[in-house]
Amino acid sequence: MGGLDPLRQPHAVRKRINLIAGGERMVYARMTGRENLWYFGQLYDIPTKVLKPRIEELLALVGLTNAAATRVEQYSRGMTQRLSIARGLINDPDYLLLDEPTLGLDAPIARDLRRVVAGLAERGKGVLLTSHYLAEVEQLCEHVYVIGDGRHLAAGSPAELMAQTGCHRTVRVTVTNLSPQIEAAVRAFDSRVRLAPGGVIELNHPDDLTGALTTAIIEAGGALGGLEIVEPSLEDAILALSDRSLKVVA
Amino acid sequence: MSVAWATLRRSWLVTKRAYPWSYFIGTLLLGVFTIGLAYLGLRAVAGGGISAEFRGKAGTGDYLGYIAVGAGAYMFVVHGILWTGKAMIQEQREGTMGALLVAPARRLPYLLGFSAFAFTAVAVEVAVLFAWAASTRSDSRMPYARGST
Repeated sequence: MGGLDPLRQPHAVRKRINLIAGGERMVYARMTGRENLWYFGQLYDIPTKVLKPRIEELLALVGLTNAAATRVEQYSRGMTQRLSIARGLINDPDYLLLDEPTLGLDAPIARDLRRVVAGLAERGKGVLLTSHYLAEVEQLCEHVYVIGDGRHLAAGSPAELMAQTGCHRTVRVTVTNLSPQIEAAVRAFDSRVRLAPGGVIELNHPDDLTGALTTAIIEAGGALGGLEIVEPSLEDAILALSDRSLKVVA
Repeated sequence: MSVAWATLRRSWLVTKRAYPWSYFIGTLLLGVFTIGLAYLGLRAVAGGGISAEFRGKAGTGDYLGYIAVGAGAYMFVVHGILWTGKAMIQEQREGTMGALLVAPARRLPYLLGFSAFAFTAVAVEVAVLFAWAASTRSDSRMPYARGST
């Protein structure tokens, strides 16, 4: 890790890492926010001259400056979690381990946390995020490892994972006057075209064929009642991987 | 030693806030009851007399003083060592164990800090206990020695 051997140099490695876990943990309930940060600063042997301004900076970062002198037991769940984030940053870690950091947080607080994490990554910090919230993973992670039943299933960027699992953009066109002639035209357009009830024509394709498909429908005499483009998500890719894994196990 | 000092301060703050007075009273009562029970035994069972056998084996006729030393040692063991041993369990319950494990602080200064708090607290309690025992000491000094029964 960063040129250090965690087994031979655990002390040096610990100085450069920190951990933030979800679920209101990792801070002392009967101490104030500032006291908690001071204590953990001592555990990391941070000089007082550095620690004092850093505590204030972190309290401001997580929006707890006004509650710094309040005991954690009087904090709301979100405030406790935000303090836990500040604690995780007390040693200005080069590598940050995040274990479900937004678990149980209100949406605005979770969004703020994601902003903080994204900012850390932009500043060159290494962030390892473990999460079941796939939208969060998709938003924050450049490289994703998929683990299922304790086994490593796949790895790559979210886009690569989606491509690997055949998850592509879906174009959904609603035709108000669907006729056998239009059906034949769209089937001839691409073999991946699927006809759904209600005059809906779906095409899942790696290339963007929205314009070409709608043109083909109009040329066949079709009238467009609606157009929907659904981008693939990491969740789709994970579900596809999960299905494949189940098939392998079966 | 900043970790030891910080842990001592943290333990003091947390204990004071969790048990503003009951912690100290509660632990002190352990010694008070130990000596009190011995005092009751001395008065109600032994009739206030100290046997020559006890005097011979203990080397003193000061029965309550003898018990007080034992009670003090017992408090040191229970509250000094046991509470220090309990430090890790408390961290686990509080959910702070993970944060401690990833920190570079070594275990010894952490445990020394916790021990320093536990032993300081129990030293004050034992001092109070001895003061109380000393105040009742004159009552336990018997003007005569009873023979062995």
